[in-house]
Amino acid sequence: MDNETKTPKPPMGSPMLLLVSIFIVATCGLIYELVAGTAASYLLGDSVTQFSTIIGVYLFSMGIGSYVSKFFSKNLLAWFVQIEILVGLVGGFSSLVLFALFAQVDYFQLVLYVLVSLTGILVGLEIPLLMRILEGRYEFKDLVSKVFTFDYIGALLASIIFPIWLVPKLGLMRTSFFFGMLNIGVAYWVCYKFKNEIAWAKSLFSLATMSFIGLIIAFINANNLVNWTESTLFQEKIIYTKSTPYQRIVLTANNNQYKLYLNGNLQFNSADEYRYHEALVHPAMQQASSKKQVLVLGGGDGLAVRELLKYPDIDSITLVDLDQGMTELFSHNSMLKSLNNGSLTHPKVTVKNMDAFLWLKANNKLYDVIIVDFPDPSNFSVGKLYSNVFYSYLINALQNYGVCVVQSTSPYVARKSFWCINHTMQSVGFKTLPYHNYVPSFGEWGYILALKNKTFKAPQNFDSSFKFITKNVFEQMLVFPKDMDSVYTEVNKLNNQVLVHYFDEDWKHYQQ
Amino acid sequence: MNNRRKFIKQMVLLFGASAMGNWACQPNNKYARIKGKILTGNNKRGHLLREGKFSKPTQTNYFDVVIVGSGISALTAARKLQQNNITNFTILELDDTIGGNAINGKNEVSAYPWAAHYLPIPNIDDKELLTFLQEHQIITKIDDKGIPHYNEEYVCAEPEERLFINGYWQDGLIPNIGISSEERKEIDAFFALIKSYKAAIGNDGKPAFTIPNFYSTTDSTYTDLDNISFYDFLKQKGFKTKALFWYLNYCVSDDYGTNLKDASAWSGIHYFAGRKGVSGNTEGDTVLTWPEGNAFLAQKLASTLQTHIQKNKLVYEIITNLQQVEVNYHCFETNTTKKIIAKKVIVCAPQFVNKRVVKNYPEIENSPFTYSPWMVANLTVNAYTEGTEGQPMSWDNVIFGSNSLGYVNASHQLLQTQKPQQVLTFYLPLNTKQPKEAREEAYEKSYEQWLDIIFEELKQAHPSLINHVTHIDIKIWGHSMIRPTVGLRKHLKKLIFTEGINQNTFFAHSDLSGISIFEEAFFQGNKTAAQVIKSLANA
Repeated sequence: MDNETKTPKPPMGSPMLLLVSIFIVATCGLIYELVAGTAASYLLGDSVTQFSTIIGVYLFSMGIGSYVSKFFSKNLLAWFVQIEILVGLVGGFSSLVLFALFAQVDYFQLVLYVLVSLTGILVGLEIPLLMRILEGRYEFKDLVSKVFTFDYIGALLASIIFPIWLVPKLGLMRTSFFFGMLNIGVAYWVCYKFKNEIAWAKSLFSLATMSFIGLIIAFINANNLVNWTESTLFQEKIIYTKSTPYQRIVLTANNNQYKLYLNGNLQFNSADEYRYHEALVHPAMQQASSKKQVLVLGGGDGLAVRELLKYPDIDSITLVDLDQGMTELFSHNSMLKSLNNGSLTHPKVTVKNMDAFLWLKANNKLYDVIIVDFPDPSNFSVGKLYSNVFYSYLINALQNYGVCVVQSTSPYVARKSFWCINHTMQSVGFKTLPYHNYVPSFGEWGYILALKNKTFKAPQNFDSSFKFITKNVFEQMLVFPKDMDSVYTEVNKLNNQVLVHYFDEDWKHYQQ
Repeated sequence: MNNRRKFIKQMVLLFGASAMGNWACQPNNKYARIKGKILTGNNKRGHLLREGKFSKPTQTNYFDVVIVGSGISALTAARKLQQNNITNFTILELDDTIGGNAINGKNEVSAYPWAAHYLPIPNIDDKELLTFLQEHQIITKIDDKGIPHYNEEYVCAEPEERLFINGYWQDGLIPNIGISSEERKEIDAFFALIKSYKAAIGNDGKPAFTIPNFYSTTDSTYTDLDNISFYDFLKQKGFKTKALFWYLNYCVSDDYGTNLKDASAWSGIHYFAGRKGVSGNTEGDTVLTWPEGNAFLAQKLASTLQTHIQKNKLVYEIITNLQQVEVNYHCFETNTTKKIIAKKVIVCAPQFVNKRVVKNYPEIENSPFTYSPWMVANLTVNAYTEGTEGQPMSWDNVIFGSNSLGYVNASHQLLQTQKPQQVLTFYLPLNTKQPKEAREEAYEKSYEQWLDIIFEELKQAHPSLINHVTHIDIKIWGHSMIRPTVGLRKHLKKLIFTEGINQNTFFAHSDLSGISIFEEAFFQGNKTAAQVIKSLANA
């Protein structure tokens, strides 16, 4: 296209098309703001603060963009097309960038506000440039009135469809990719319409095409089926997912509550996990005559370790969790560190990323207290960690007067499973003390305290700083109502895996 | 502009070329990602015997006893000698590993067997075997009632067996899913029949079927079952259900490498009725198994024998006379030939080898000894879930209708809870043709041809397996198991030479029991060692 000719500014073909494009640009602009605000509330919690600061920074950045617009004097159309493409890319990929970087970077807020500012500046440039492009083609009062009318209508539409339709149906990521594509669509249209007036129309066309393809690929892939099913499965906002060689970690957030799912099973809810972790850790610690050497098997979230670190007489805590992806996440992510008080990086804590069964078999050190916090025995792989062979290694790793506790699923929902764990532990020589408490996210939950060569002593007062457990509460936890009381079960062995079968039956029964 | 156009053109060409390239290369390179090879077995070394060109021995050594071979019967015999304070003996093994059929491989994922890979819970009156298992903490205790308790790390972990049938992995190997009630009745009738054989006692007061089968009855009601094939027996009894015939063919292939029509009815029934395992802490009908298979047991047997074992030694000549035995052998490492003069020799090689090696080995008319060829492959596989329903990956995974025995997950017994990779041992008895023909064909096949066969056999259950396999090694066993064919037992009874020649040359091999299983090899080793001990004491 070497024979380009300059023509005087013609009026636009149909004013309707112009208005549509302003409308789209305005909608996109607000959508990016909403995406950033929503992502920030998912990821960081405290939605009032997040939305308020993001709206502020965004509007301020738009102001910067409007100010900067005066420095664009030539080739306005070409600039406008380029800015549309950039907005499409930056805005379109914004949610992906936020979710991807959340777990990776130490200063997530910095990334967030840089991104918000950048989007704001670019969006701020759009309307002033557009108005200047259209200057002279329309009467000024008409121009101002139409541009701002459609700008505000776009904003209204965006703010309505975003919560009602876009987030629930498309999800946050697809929404931003989709609006990125719309921005680029506008770039296309302007390019096409003014191809005779734009110096590098062809280059811009191919640039727009490449960006569009990029967004389409992202749109198809980023929200792949796994993600999609998970977001519908969890009914909460997924803020982080990671597939490690061992499991799929999903972190969700809703109204300041974080929930961690491992392979789709709830691991904790930040709102009430203290009930679980206090009940898991403190009774065992109170029974222990010595607390110097503590072993935690599983519990890669560091929440049990957080409770343990409340005992200054502990010399060292060894945590064995298979999944490095999990322990790294809970060691380095600032939001998750605020949940476990940075327990996994505490100098007394050593993290070993090994298979608990193999580690325990090879271990020859003795521990005063052992906390066992494995996922529920829902499959044959995990079922091994509740077998008599495993418990015989466990009892051998315990000091003569040591204490151990095992998270033992729900005695209400999975009554047979719970008592099977109890009987299996007894079969290798443990004296057991089953107890349970109520954790709203889990329901009735059960634990088995196990002693080697010592007798159970009556509960004393627990530290007053604890949020849940007291002497009276623990005494109550030892009482089993009739519908959760002991039932006959076989011993869980590697070669019968009865526990997995019980667990299956228990849950089927419960769900019917 | 021109540059850009050129650039786009180039990109299109490049993209097109690479796509074409991919497409064009696909068919030839479908196994490009899979590493591995056919491992050369000891058959090459063994074939030197046929050529018979060995130089004169340059060195002579003296031993009380020479044991030829290091399979289970050899190691068992050596253990017994040692326990009876006979220490001046040596073991000569052709291969660079000991164990015979009980050998294994190992990679970064798991150890895995190359042949024998499990031991059923033994019968309670097989006292010598129980003692051995107790010596090595495989039996952890014998309780007050005299019932053994087994080390649960060695008992096959749950889930044990599954069968892929009608698009579904069912629990257990006896066909069940999609089987009509009539067919099921017939299957039940078969097992009712087996139950009666299991309990049956012959007119001499001995069990109709037991392991070692040496101790079973001579009552012709039962021994006559040796005269008829398992297939004909089933037909005579009126069985006709295809699923039952497939299952029973699978069973005799599994234990004997023999098909229903070649196996005797006696051996087919013995497969079920001979096993009467009792255990205090597990089911009696389960098995003991290890990632490395029976190599675990071979290593336990050999644990005190290390100084006696000489590997890479081909015994090519055993000359026996009334005074002594001369054992001549070739050393592969030094390429020299040596002689041992011994008071006694225990020949623990199969009879098809012995007839070439032992000079006064008697001529046997219509030799009943035939051996089944096998192909065994070990596949290193990434953990993946095929979109099939039913029981998850088990120890033994069999596909209904297949000629293969399916695969055994060698990594199954590993204690670790999560296994991103596993080793699967695929077993294919080459029993659809007569052994000689099948053996020759097997030696001819290329690595890729074997891969075709493996993926074809597993395709039904695992259509996308090829994308998840990283390594496959293959081993061809030319003569892996004695085939308990019609009439074999009758022949064996007549072979008196097997009791020893000249009171100094003795034989121990599971083929003399007519059944190639650990218990029989162990029995043979002990029985022959006892003869040798007695004979040495008498001298």
